[in-house]
Amino acid sequence: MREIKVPQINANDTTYTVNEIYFQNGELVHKQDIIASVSSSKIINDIESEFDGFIYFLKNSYDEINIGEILAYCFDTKEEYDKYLLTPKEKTKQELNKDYILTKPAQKFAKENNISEEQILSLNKKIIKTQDLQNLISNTLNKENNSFKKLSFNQIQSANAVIQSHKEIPQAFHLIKTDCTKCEEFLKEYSEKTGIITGYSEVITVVLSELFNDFPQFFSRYVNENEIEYAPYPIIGTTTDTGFGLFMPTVKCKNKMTLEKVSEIMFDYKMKSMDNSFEADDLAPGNISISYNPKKNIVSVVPIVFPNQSAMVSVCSPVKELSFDNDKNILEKSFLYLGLAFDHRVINGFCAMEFLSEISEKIENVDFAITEG
Amino acid sequence: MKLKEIIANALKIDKNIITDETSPKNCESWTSLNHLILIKEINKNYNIKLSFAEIKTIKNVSDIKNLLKSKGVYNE
Repeated sequence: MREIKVPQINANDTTYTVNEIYFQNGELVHKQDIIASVSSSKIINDIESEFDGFIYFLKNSYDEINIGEILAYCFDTKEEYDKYLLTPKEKTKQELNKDYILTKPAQKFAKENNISEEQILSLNKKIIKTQDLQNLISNTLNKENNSFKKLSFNQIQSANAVIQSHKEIPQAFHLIKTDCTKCEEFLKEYSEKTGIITGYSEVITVVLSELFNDFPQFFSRYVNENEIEYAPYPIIGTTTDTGFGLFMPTVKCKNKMTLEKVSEIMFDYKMKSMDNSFEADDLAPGNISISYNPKKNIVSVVPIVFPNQSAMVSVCSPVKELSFDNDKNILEKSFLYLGLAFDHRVINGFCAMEFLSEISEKIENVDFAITEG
Repeated sequence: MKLKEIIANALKIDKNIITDETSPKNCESWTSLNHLILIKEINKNYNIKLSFAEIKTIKNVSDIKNLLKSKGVYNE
């Protein structure tokens, strides 16, 4: 019996929904047959069988499934499949739910208020007290009054990633003020000269790719309390929002990156974000991310650190401020507030400051690769 | 839809103020986001797919016209 698990498709998601199942239980499938499709908040992805054999699905259409959870078993022979069906299975979640204890006052309350067994089961608790039943009635009334609204699918998916991050990652955050006056002028001139419209999301992607060798831990993955896993090369996730939803496509920096190259890749991603035509590889998981928040007057945001990553850089729009030059003359300058959220198990505060200072200096001095050669 | 209307819709401006010289330099609403919308609308309306190298040549409205002419999909 072999397991067919759901791989990670999009860095943002921890849970998918089974969209469609293309085979009946017991049918013979072949390696690379598409056996099902699952959907995340951003993309629908086909799941291929990794083996030849007789299939048995553990999930149905519309069920939720976590990354790495078993979608189906594949059996080498029909005999093995039949034998599995005859094996007593563990109790289902619903069956387990029936093992609840209702306290005596709660039993009386349930009887007086005509609360059904189905409603009690929906609490999904082992020991149920009167207070639980009072809350149940209050929630039901609120639902009837239309004060309850269902969260969107995207919000639920995002919430899952946020909950997992907050649960697993002890996160810290540093903020640095960066004089980007010179970089602003450069970007304006560059855009006028080359026709390439680019910005800080692209600049920071190039900068991060250039810091990979000196700061590999920022691209690493926490394995356990004694070990981290280094990435072979930078894969940088960048938030892309053109008003059609928030996406996190990744720029794969196997070779030396330049602003021109990154701008081309990001332009393609922005176009794809407008009609959600991303391919699975575009949204493959990264090993570091950039949270780009271009809304005017938003100075800084504190992002989460995605599970399986160790850091996320955040950047907002530049802010104009009055500043002194060396001769104490007042002049207008542009500043960026660059944030760095990091996994404190992997990175210490001093290292984080060093990393953030390097990013800041490279932007201040326009010290990054612009074109080939 | 005529080119001027496509540009006016994408940049959210009055089509009567659009000239060959209209560009991101002199048109405040020609932002990076509206630039993307403009390219998307041009691709859709003229049934073409502009490459990044072609998009780079667009610095004003005149450049868009020349590009479309070179692809044989636009006449003044």
